[in-house]
Amino acid sequence: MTDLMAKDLDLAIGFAARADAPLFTSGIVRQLLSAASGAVYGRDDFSSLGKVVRQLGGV
Amino acid sequence: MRVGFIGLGAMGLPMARHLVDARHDVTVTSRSRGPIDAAVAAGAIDGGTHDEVVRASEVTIVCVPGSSDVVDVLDAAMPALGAGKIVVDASTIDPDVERAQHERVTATGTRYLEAPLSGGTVGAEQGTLTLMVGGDAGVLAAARPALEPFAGTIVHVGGPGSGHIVKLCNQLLYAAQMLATAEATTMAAKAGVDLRKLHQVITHSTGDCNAIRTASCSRVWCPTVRRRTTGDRAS
Repeated sequence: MTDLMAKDLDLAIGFAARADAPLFTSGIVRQLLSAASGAVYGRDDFSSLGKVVRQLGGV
Repeated sequence: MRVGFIGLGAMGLPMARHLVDARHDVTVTSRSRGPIDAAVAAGAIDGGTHDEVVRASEVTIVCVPGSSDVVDVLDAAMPALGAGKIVVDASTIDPDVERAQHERVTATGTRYLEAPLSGGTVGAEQGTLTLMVGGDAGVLAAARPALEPFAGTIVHVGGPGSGHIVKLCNQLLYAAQMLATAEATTMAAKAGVDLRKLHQVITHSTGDCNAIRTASCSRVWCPTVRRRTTGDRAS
């Protein structure tokens, strides 16, 4: 998977805002993907997300 | 059937190959040369410009990265749009932008569907993609022969925009699974639990989900474990 997940989450969050549909996890994941991208963890969303969370957990 | 394909990316190129294998006459174009050459080597025809691809086709499938890309493609295709043609947008874009494209394309007499995809590059290679279709049921029936070669499941969700809503629902579900998987593995790793044992339990428990299965061992779970040969690919 590439950074298409970040793009799709932006679409979901944008649409949910217009529809007044609450999205909690998507917002968090989107920010973690930004953090991963900033840390240059590569274009694989899933493993870079995992790396960020593991780093936050001190693993 | 004469099928056009615009956008030969990681998804589009294998999808176009399935159309060729299904013995459609496939005319293609894409942003870069390499994928066009690969599609031609597989039996497709280089259509040149977007409007030439549409002109040569009964059904034209568009598979490009974002909203502005879809708008640009349809702008370029406009001269060729009219009665007797169908355009299917397989991209994932802003639902409201997609609804606007439905309107402006159907105003030309060309019929329009949105058909965002799920299944990833693996699904595209295997021809098992899920299509969540928004638009008219009759148009879907007419376009089906151009969709079935790369699809495992085709669902007519509803009217314009509805396919995109369902696609975004899928993405938010998968994102939540990805996060929970990362949290669970981190907690287990901190506690010194064997991640392969964790995987074995979870895949037979209520926490089982697609993210757990597709991330197994090669990624979040066991990054230091040698990759298994089957079932390790994400969708």
